Amino acid sequence: MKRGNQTGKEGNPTRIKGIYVHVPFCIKKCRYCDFYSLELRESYLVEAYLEALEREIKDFFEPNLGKYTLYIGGGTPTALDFCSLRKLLEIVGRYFGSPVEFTVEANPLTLDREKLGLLKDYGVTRVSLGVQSFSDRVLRILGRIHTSRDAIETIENASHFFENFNIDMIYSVPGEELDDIILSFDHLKAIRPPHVSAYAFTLEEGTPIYRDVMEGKLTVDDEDTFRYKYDHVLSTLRTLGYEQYEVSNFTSSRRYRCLHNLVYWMLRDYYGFGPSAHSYFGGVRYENRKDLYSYIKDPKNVKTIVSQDDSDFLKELVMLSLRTSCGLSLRKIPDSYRSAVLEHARDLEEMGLVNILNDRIVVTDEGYSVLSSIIVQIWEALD
Amino acid sequence: MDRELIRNFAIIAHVDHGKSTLADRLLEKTGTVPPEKLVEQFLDKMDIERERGITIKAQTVRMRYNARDSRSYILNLIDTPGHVDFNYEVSRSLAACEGAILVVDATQGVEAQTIANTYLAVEHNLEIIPVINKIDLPSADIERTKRDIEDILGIDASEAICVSAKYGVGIDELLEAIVKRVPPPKGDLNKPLKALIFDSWYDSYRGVVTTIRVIDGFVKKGMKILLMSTGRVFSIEEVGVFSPDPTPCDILGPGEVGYIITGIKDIRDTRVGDTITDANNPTKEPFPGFKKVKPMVFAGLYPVNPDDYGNLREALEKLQLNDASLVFEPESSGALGYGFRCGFLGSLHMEIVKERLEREFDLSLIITAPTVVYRVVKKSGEGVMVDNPEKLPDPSTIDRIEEPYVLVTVITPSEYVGNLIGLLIERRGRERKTTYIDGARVIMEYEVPFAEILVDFHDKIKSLSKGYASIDYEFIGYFESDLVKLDILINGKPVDALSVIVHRSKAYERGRELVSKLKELIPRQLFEIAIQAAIGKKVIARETIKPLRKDVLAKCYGGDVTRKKKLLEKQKEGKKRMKMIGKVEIPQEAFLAVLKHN
Repeated sequence: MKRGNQTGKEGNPTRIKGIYVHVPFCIKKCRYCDFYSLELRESYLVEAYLEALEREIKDFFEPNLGKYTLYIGGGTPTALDFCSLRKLLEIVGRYFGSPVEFTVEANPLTLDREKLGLLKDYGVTRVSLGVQSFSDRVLRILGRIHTSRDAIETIENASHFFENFNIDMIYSVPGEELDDIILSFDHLKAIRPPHVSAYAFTLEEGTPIYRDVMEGKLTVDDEDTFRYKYDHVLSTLRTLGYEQYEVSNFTSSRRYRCLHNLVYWMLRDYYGFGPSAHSYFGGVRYENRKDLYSYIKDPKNVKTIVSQDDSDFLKELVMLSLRTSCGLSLRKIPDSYRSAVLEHARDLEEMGLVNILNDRIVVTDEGYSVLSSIIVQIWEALD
Repeated sequence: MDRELIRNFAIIAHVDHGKSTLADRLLEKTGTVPPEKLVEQFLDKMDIERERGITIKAQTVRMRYNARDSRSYILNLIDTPGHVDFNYEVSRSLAACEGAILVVDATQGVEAQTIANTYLAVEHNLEIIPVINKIDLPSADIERTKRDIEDILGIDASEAICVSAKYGVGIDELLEAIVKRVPPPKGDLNKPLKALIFDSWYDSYRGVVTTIRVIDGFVKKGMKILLMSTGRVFSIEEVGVFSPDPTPCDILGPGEVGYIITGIKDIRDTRVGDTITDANNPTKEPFPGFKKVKPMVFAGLYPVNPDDYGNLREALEKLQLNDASLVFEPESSGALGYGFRCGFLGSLHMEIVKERLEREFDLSLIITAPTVVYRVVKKSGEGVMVDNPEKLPDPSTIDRIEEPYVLVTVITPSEYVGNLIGLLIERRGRERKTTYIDGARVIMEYEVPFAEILVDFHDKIKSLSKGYASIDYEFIGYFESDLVKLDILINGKPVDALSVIVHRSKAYERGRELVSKLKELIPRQLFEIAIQAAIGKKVIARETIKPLRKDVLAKCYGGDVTRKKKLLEKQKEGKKRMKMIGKVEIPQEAFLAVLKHN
């Protein structure tokens, strides 16, 4: 398949493709979230979704896919009841039966032992738990349905079923105190999960929390507070021996890295199914329509092209590579831009924001906190 | 035309005293313009003039008036510009007249421009007819206004004519007075042609139209004329009068006012104040008092969008067709790119030009801090005129710097004197004379550096006097000053567009003010930014902008790469609108910071 297979090496995860399945349901919408999902009320919608999903996958199915990762995200896949979840796993497994990695996202309140067993039975290798915080105060601000006690219990259970699991954390939430973040990461210290995703909070327009901020009910961290928290998160995870292999992703061992995410960051091909899912193959990016109802009606005709030219590719290469600890390989930059990119990178190196190692530009810790500005600066070399 | 039946006059007044309304009434009463066609302020043709209530271009109109003595007179009204920036044009217009109607608002009394304009009229030996306007208003005080005219202006007000231009009261008496009191023009038809140019403008169909007053001799179609200041010869294609539309006629004789059209395409060939004579039989003596008006205020004009440079040049060229006093030359600034150094008669002229460029040509412009023209005397004895802080010679080579001074005249109710003295002293003014008029009002005369009144001065005077004080100024010459160039350095690099020349005593305050303003306006960037104000090598103020500490879009979820890319692209576009100084991005607003001060 097109650009995806050109430069990979034997045994290198970059050859792997990705399969993503979007489950557009949640028990309740979180106050900060703007991903496409609906609150789960009518079970017939789940039925209809699953039918449509199967039609979409079937229509697209490619028997010679080679190696691939499988990722079921959402929404909250585990918001489905046991039967529906089983049906989902059956459908997916029917077409994508031998993934090199199989992740399912879960909310701590919707993942009991039965479902954990089910996932294990269907070949899931990794669960990703949306914990976000161990402070109940912060969980309330975020509008999560679970408490920190729920999270601790589910993590405990999950660890019995899965060697590899991820805990999602969010820091620098509006209204979050320093104590909250310290408490949260003290818990994390005690748990020592194999993999941690720690995201800086992003305020999305149109969400309830955005309105709270606009109305002054919550305050966004100033730069110095943000930096304090960022430094705390980073140093806690470092001290515990985690490797930061991407700006927001930490692993306790190389073998627990999330291969599926690496597919995204390395610009490998991936195929997304379900409403709002994204795909990238043959150098073209697609997005599935964000509308469950039209998806149910016609799941074979939901993809629209969002970008496809070479300048998009280069920009994405810069943007995604710089997120990772591998950095941006100058060899992948066409000759005509290389010296300009290098020049811009040298300026950034002088400021201590990147290191230039052999032919790679790698962002430093200091640089990660201002990654957007760095990306824009390198982009300017592509003009 | 019988000279005895011609009257040439101007109307002079302080702004808002009703000059243009009075002109409207005269046009109406004499039947020159039918009432239904009379737009308010008929002679102010530009939108900008009507909106601001000021006259920028002089206009001329010929009226026919059947007087009570049963004779039919030709009245030539020469409307004059109403602002000190256009003082030379006013003086040339007055030179074309024998009389002046001095309009004073009965509710305001004599104000600063009234004095200045009256002095000009007196200098030209004009017969002055005082007119007290706005007598319809309840607060009109005719007796006090008469006393003002006599006490302040020294003009007999016993025969002042009371009018209400608004309601047409007293206009007949005024027309009679013009006929009786303004002397008919002198002049000799048999002498060689001598005519004064007092206005000219560019008409896209007809080329340059020149308004003239014939002194001696005559002009007619086909005649070859000589412009005495340039020595250039042109052939007259059309002669006519404004009544009020241009109407061709055969001949203009002594004392007559009208226009000529020649093959002239460039307005700078017909300088206001120049003398026209017969190329075949030239006069020996040109009309006295011609001078080439020199711009007093300079500023850089830059397009916000660099692609508009060509459009800006074209627009300036078009404006210049009608504005011989506007000068410009290409200039480039490290900070702002390519633009033009423009010279103006004063700050009003500057504002008008900028406004017209933006309004009539749809341009978005950055204007740098206006500066006066400094006279630098070098140690070698050489004199240099400096109209741009960047061109100030190396301080070690300078013996002294002189700056232009103006005499500012302020008329104010006495309770505001304290406030105004404070302002005048803060602007480095020196008191020359303070005169109490009638216990309630004061005339203050201060010598003030011209540079100090360029920005925010008129507004400050108005706000400190609740709108009651009026001002006027005139140039009195160059005087030595302890001036220094204040540079702004961003990360050690001087930013040319932010340099200003200031008095040493104010340099520290101004430096501190500028750097703190810039600190607010320049966004945090990836590195620390030092903003310094310096005189020569000596740094006198400094602020630091700490590096950006948070700029990260953390989540890149579910393969939605495009959305993140769009956010970054937006960020990149934002950067594009900034000007780069070295590696520092500076928003446009920062350059405006130097224009205003507290």
